[in-house]
Amino acid sequence: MSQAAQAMIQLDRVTPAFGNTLAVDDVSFHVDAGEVLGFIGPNGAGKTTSMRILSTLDTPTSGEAWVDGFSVIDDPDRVRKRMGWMPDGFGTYPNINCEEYLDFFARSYGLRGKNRIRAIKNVMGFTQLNQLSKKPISGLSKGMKQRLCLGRALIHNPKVLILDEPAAGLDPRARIELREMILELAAEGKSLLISSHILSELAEVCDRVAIIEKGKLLAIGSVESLLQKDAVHSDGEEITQFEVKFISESSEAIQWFNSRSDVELVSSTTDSILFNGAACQKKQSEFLAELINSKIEVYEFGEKQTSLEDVFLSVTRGEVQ
Amino acid sequence: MTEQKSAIEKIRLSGAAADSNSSLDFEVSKLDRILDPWSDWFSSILIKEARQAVKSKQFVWTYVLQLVLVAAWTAMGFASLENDLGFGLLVGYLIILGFPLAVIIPFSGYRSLAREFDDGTIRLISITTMKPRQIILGKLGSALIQLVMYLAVLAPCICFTYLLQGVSIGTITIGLSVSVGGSIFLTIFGLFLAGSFRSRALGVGVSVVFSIALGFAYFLWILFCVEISNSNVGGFGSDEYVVVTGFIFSVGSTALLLLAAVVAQISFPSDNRSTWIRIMMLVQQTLFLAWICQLICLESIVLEMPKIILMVIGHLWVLMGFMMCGESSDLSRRVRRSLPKSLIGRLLISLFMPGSGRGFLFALANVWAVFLIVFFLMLFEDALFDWNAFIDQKRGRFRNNLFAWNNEVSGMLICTGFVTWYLSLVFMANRYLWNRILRIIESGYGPAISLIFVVAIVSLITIVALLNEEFFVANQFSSDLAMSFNWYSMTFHSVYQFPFVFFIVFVVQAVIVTVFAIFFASKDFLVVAVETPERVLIERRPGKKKSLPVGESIDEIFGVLPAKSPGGDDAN
Repeated sequence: MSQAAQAMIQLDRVTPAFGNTLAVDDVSFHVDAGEVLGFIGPNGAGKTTSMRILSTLDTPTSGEAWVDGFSVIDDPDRVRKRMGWMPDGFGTYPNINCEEYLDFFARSYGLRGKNRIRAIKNVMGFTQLNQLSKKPISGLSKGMKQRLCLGRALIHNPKVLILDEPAAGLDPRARIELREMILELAAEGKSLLISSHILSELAEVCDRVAIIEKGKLLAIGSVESLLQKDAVHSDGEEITQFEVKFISESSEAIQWFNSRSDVELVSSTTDSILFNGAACQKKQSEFLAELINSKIEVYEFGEKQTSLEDVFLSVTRGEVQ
Repeated sequence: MTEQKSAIEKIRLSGAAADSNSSLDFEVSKLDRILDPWSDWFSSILIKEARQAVKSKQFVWTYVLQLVLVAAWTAMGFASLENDLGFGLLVGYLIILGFPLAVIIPFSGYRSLAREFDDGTIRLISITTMKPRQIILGKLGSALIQLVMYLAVLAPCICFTYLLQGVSIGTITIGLSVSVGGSIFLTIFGLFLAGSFRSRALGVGVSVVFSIALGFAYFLWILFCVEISNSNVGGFGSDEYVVVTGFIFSVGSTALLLLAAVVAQISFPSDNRSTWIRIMMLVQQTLFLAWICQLICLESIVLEMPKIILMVIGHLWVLMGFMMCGESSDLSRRVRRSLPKSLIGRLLISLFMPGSGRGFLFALANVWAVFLIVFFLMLFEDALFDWNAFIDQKRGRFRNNLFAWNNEVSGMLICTGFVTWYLSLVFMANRYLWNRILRIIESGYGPAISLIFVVAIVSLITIVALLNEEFFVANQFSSDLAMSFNWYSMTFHSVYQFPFVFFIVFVVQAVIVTVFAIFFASKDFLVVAVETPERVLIERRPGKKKSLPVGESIDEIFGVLPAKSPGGDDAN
């Protein structure tokens, strides 16, 4: 709880069960003020369940969760004042326009009079929905609906935002704009928990990333630290992955690589090779010199850039519950 | 990052270029501007649904159709009705009014809540700061607005029938009261159904059944309208008065109970979902007893009445008790920290708290309380209603007729005993079978399983009773078997015919099972309070503004949320 007192979001050994299925199994993590935590995992991994618990829609069978120091089980009303939730699906009402939609939720959050009108104005301005205020929701595009949904989550200016697949189904422009909005919200000190399947998007906006599979938290940390974790350490020497590209076919090069004991061949194509070797720059330089001296026509040599996708694939096994 | 941001700004500006001339301008009409501050007093759901209703074709068509029918009936009435023109027109108007009130409004109320579950919007409402009670009352309120609008069309016409003479104010009042009261009750029932059957697959079936039931209710309404024109409405003390007050008490209290139940259905799991339901149960019972007292004042206690009272109450508490016995025994921390700190306070409030043991004891306490109340009413009838003794010459007959008195008390005892036995059995089964082995209570299906379990037991007893004709004479069960609970007939006949049954069922089974059940349930009786967390106490400290959710002022809230309107009029 001491950590919970500081963190805006805190999950402590949360385990919700549906019958015999553990949707989330003993998951713990926290999100600090102004921090953006990406929540990634395969379908059915337990991301939405965790988010639903934080959003006070479900309760865990065991464990505890807090938002701004308030328990989501014991003080859901206080948590709701501080939390905005954007679900993966967008629930609409017939015969209602954007302004009326936001007005309804502003009233539902207890905003009254001029405060309510100002809140709607500000949110519509922030989400760029000004020109669509009188447009029926049913006529909105997917991107506009996502904006409206974000506006709804922001209408009471929560300290914590929980966004479940916010970029799903958006075109590139809408995705870039959404990313920009998320960065602005984080800069304003809001804590964000975002789940997404678009990992490159998450890597750009998240301070830290949590990877979950089959309800278990597999890894958590900053994107950089997770990328570093992917490097292999052996006998005290740091090893990293390299890619070499050749002008001609690489069959001769493969033989050369196989004959060496200081590198490990990972994979190869007709004109390139992926291998693990010493991360030390001096050794890299010597290795490259030997490679060129052996008459193999190299045109590109470099450290392979590890992405969040690589980390995700190496950590998870593609299993669903 | 800066380069990226500028690129994004470009995209934004280019995307908004088409509309860059228009700034955010709330085009509120003058009327809206006047009404807007007043709207803060109303539920947000009420306002949203009123807006939706005004735009919905269904409302517009029903409203127009009603206007056309009213105009047509008025013209036809004047052309064809010579005698009793006032009555004839009134009946027609009430029948026209009945359709939206008995069918359209309740079904709209049902669909309104059911759609929230179907579309998932209930999740969005649930996480706002609105209480479940506000959500349900908002739905009911929007139904009431529609009701008022439909009524507004008919009101001048109905007043007009009074001017035509031949129609009393009493008749008009009863007609309108029953239609409005019935409509509200049916709407609440619709909300209850929507809250109870949330899955889309079940919802379709429930929609069909409910619409058929509403059609039947409208048919009954037509019969009522025809009947109201043929009868004279009696005053205080008349048969109509007794029936109407009984109807109002039973429908009103059931509506309150259903309302509490549907609020509980959409409440957060750690909320106290039971106390209001129990209070409403108590209100229902109190109103029933009040009605009985009124009846005794008017008619005195007649033979069989005490047994019938116990049977009605027994029926009620068997049903309610089964549901309560299916509750989870655990009290959430949220509920426990709201308990009084004093031991006496907690003991007094204990039976109103959620939990199977407390629910069982609550049902038991109520059914035995009714037994004692009726018993004392019989015992002190003259003393309690002394003024009535002047009218009723048969006063004190229960005490004068020892056999009748004993028969009534024995019947009441057996009836109460059966209820106690059934409740004890279900409580024990729930606590030590379902809870321990199947873990069904935790899944939230405890009350439903409890109900199925007891129906199975009662059915088994009924079948055994039917098969064993030597023990249970067949003709004693001929009519009563239509009822699911054969203890009615046993209660009526066992005193005369089967003292052995009385002994076996009441003394042996009831007492043994009940003693065990009460012993185990009493462990739940003393509820333990917990301290309120420091974080909550800090927020509760005086001086904290409660009107706004997060910041100290709205400017502070949005001072950190810059607007992106090209005109820049939103910036703080």
